[in-house]
Amino acid sequence: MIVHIDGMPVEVAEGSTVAAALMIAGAARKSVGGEPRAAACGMGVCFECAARVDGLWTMRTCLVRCHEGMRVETR
Amino acid sequence: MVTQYDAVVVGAGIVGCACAARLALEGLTVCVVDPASPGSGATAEGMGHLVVMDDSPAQLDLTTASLRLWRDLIPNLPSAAEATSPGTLWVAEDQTGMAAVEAKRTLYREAGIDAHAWDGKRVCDEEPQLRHVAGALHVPGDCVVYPPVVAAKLLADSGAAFVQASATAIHDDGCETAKGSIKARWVVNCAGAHAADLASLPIQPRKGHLAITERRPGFLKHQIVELGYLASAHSSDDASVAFNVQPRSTGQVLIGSSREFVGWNPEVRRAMLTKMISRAIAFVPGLASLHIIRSWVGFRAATGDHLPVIGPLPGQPNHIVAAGHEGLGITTSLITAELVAHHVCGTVASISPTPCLPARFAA
Amino acid sequence: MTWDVVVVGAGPGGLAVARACSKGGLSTLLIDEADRPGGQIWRAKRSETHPHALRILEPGVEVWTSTTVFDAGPGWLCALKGDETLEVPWRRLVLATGARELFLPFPGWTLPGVMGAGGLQAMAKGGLPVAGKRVVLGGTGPLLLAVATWLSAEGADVVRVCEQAAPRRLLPWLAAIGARPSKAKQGLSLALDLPPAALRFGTHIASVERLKGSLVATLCRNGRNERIAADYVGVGYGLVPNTELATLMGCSTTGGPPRVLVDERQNTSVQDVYAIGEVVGIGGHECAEAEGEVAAAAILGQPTETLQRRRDRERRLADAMNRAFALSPEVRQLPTDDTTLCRCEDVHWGRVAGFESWKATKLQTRCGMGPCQGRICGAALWALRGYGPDKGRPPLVPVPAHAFRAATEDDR
Repeated sequence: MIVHIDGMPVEVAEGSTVAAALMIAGAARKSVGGEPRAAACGMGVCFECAARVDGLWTMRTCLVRCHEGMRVETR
Repeated sequence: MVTQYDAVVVGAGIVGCACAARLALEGLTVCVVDPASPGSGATAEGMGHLVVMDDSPAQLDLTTASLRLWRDLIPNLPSAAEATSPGTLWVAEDQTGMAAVEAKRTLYREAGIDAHAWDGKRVCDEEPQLRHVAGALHVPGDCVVYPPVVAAKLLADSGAAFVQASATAIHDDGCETAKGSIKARWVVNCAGAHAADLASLPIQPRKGHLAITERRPGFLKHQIVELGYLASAHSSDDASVAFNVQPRSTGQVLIGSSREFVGWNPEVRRAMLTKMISRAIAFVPGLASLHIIRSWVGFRAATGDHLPVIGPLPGQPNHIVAAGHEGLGITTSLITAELVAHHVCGTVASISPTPCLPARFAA
Repeated sequence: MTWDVVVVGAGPGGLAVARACSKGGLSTLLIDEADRPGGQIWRAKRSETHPHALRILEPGVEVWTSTTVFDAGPGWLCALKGDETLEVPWRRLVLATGARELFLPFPGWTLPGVMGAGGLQAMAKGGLPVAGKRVVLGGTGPLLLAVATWLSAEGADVVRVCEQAAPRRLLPWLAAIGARPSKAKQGLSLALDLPPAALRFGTHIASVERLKGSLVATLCRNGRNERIAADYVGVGYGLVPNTELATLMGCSTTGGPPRVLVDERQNTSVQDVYAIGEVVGIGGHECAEAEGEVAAAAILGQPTETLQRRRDRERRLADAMNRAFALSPEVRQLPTDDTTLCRCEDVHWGRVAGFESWKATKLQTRCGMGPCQGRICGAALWALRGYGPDKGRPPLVPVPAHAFRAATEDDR
């Protein structure tokens, strides 16, 4: 299926998490100090994978499954 | 351990640290005593709102004078002190409220405080996240700081000694602590809601709930308070909430406010949080989708007349109390220090010390 | 409706206690934040449910997945599912909230592509392609071996597995395992599946850098360094209990990082609240399942002595494991002054020098004030300094403010 990461279409397997899609796309969020960050704990604790999903802020993307046409923004 | 100082300050909250700094500036040797690290009690629990308040003429004097001192201090604070000047919006929900806004504006202007009455449309333009209201009083000079860092800096810069211990008693010649006596000519009791443990004072803990959101820079431009806040603060009974939200320099929104007398019960109560946050969402609908990341409670030091106790205890001229600041401890910490210096060193105070004297409670 | 039993956490322990309670005739609700039961250890690929979880998932148990508990008190808890706030009354509560990985900061630990060891496995199960990717693993514990073997089976090129413990430290634990045929067999098969020459003992990852699009890990053993290129680096130093819900409810804890104190029948210090599994002490799924059965028996008013003996046996083995994999002094000295400690707030290690308590550290530096509320940095501080956060507050996890909006005017 195709999901959109910061406007860019990315192909992911059925049942993938949004965090995996972000990593496949090489997309990273920016920390408070401006550093690139991506998923670290993989289980919803660290919030490094947090992104806006279909307009909802601060989603822990490692806990969210992709669906066709999903829009994900890292900022 | 027995050591001799000119002054021992009991309590390393912002009031104690400000007093220590001011007395050290006057050349006194100072020791500060607190069982916890500086600025980690009530100082860390509140909103850090530097605000002019007019519950009484004396309160107006206190807050106005203290804000002048804050304006001198703020440029010298580190960025970790998170000092900003969002100003305050006192919102009126209806025309009765607008009349109160006009009256407040007149009072403030007469006291030399910049204040403007905005109609509903102006408020909407200036604060888009606020639901439509009848209008508001805009007080641009009000500021926000992060008090724990300010308290720690005041103490560190003062050169005062710090003893991490509980003060157990205050005597004529100093105080007793869990780690031994500290001898001093003057004792300054800045123990906040605990001041009444060390002296006969009508100070009680008044519990408040707070919650803070994730970072959303630019969401709010001003600290926004409902006029009813004053009624809630003024009332002396029962649990109440009043709308009070604040943008922090981090972009987080700090949500207050509540008041109840339940002793020192440290529990975060869902019922109070719900009441407080519901009211905040009612005024700022967009808040509903901001994530709350933490809630906590704090204990204000409340006197019956909403003025702090500042001055020598009757019969104990060397025991200077500086406590009971309720919701204005951060704001009035600096003027408190000035008044304490007046009592201890005889220096000039920019306002009358009379309204805050402990003697006012003598029957 | 008031549930007879609510279980928070649908890992092995939660599944076990829920099953036994339901079979005993009690109305039982099982809640988990993930979208499938099984917890961390029984996590299947993509959105399947792990066969072990399916095996002990009891039909009579009501299961709410993708549901996050964020507040609780005597007889009630609040959870968020999607946009909906759920208020759940309970008669007995079982805390099976499990554990998270311990991250010890080192230069480069926050780079994209550097994850926990279990974290990397979780990401891979969640669809991160690892076939043909170079992987370096580090940290400590049996989890490293399990992750390495699984990744290899998925086609990853696991070039190094760095266990910080020296081999001699592991001998007593290996002996204990050897005495348990099923575990010995399990361990042996893991070891045999591991790519040859990859395993290093007494070795830790000292730093990771990003160079020309690749990660480069510096491995250190007895002061000698080796630099290895990798696509992903997974580093986990064991597990820490998720005690936030327990401490929010006032349960007594012990140790630092804290774990929940329970009596012989898994009662916490709070009436009608039980705790089982990792949250009581790191011990793996065997402890969790055994303790789940003890708790269920206690709740059902049944005898627990036999079950307790099984639990005690599992706990003894777990204690041996924890002793074997204790952290060496070297891995507590990895961060430099500009190594990030608090990832949420970008507070560096040098900034938190000079404070002697978690409270002072947090208030003066903002360490622990971000969305994870000190779960990552706080656990690291417990390991590195001996203090850290010990009290959960509502909301346990960030929730939208509307989760605190009054549904009615009733006070609780």
